[in-house]
Amino acid sequence: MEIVITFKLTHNAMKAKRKVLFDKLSAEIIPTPREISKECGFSLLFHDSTSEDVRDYLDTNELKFSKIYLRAVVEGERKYEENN
Amino acid sequence: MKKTIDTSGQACPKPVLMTKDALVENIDELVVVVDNPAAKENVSRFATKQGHTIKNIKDVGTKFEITILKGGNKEETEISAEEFNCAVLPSKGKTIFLSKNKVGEGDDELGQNLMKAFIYSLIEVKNTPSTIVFMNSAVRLCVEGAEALPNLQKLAESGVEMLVCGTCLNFFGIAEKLRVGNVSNMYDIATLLTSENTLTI
Repeated sequence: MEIVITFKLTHNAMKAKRKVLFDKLSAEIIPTPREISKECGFSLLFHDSTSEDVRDYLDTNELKFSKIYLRAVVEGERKYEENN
Repeated sequence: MKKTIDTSGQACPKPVLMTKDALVENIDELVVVVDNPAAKENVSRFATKQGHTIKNIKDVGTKFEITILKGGNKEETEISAEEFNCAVLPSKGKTIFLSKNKVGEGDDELGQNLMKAFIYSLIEVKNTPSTIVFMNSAVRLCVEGAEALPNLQKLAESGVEMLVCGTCLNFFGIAEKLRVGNVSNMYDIATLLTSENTLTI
């Protein structure tokens, strides 16, 4: 499942990205999807993971983040579901 | 008397003009062959407006045959391209000229992340560019291990042409690591940049 992580600060997003890059995870930095926020910002997209694994990973590595979203394609459209 | 004209390959409003000329001749029935839906609409609308009758419209492969029964005797009217909605051909997408591996100046890491995010967003936007040109450190985006590489490969698969500066690849010693795009030279790049709708990042 695709997981999108949002951040309050650009610095936090870049720090988390450095870590996932270092750990060679299948994740990339993307512009925060419009469906989630109109504000300019970076998010992290994990290509194939679960919200639990991503949450664990971020917590274990003390990476600050804002919200976790599950991304799925429903009838040809991307849907984002907040996961708390 | 019956006559057939073929307007295939003619740009709007030529099919309408050809129809108009043909209908002036001494005929009872005119078959107009058109090769696109816009011309089909325009020719039919013109004929009806002039008081003629559309007998039928046949789909013939990728073309249409419009059979017009001549009957109109209206006064000559001016035909303007505007009136017949000559659709502007969808313009070719922009050429994006990337002259470095980051967006803007200020902070290198931020700039590189912005570039990465920019390339990701190009996959999502409606008007994808037709060509992306990579020069100086931008060529680093196209090589093995580059963060942007998977997204550039997706863009290339979707038909975006990528020209990568050979001199620059050579300078950085990464020519054999190129994984997307075609090696190009200054003449080709200059020709493109001076003739196309270019956006420089």
